[in-house]
Amino acid sequence: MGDREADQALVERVQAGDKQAYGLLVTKYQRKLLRLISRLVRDPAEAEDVAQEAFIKAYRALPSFRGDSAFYTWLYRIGVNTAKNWLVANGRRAPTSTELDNEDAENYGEGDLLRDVDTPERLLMTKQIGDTVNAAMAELPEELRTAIALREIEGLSYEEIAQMMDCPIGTVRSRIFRAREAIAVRLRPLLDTGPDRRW
Amino acid sequence: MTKELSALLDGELETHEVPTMWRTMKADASLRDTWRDYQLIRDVLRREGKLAEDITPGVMGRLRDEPVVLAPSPRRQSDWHGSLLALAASVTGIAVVGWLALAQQPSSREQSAMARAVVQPPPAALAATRAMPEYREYLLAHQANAPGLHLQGGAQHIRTVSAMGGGQ
Repeated sequence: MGDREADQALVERVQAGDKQAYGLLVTKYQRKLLRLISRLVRDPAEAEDVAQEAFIKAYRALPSFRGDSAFYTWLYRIGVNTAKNWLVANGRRAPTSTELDNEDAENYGEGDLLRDVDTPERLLMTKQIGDTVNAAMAELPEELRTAIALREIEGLSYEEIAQMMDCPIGTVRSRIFRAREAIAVRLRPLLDTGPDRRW
Repeated sequence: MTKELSALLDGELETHEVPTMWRTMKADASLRDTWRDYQLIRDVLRREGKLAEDITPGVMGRLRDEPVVLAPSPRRQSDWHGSLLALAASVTGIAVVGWLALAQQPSSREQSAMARAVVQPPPAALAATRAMPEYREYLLAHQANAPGLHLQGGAQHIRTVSAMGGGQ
């Protein structure tokens, strides 16, 4: 089952009344959507509110989603419209669709993170998370590091990775899982997993 | 189960395993935490930014007040099933159209009887025609309109003209 099909399966679960399935989609796409909205709504706290609003609007509109496009493509449009409406409601000029296209909201330069007008605590946290993941990556055995880099950075499928690394697909699956777990073990102490953060 | 979760994240889990995985995740909060951790690792490696944020609890908190969305799921049928239905619909359509067309036409026996009745005037009429040469020219001139030349499909609308012996 491909990524789009997996999203569609989740959407169908939500459409059948399973709210928690929607949480998995929110977790998956929240940063991508927040990154997009942050380009329109500069204030981080406001961008977060708008992102939440976009997810709520998308939830309400889900009965009409038929899977003609990918879930994120559909969510992207809702995110842009929500941000534009928010700007207009707050007396600010919303960018035209041409301006937005020219800016190419899907692409975000490497320096954008540093230009964010964010609180020092959040910037520090972002830096700590990034450093931890990168340090854990560097300490991985070569075959695990290569496997997860080919998957996450290059976006290759398991089959393509298996061909490149000259090993069975089952081995690729196992290596990527072990790499993720090794990184997650280092990351978890930084993350708030208290009962109030669960859903 | 986390190994399957990792494969699910990559869209590489077998289709038949996915529903079980979703059900397990619904019941297991720690598995949902793992899903979040793996997504975060992905976002770091792909430089998605805003790493310190997790708005999922906030969104899910607001969703508690929302009515549950329910939409009729499109029933996915296998290709052969869809093709079979299309074929059955086509055959039924052709059968209905054919039946309607045939039902409007008289039977072959009726047709031949009508043809005889029209094409072959009664002997008395022929005799009368022969007997009245002033009508013969009129009937010959209108022979092209005689219904006997195109009976098919229009037989029920036929009006015949013939000369009656001694008639006006």
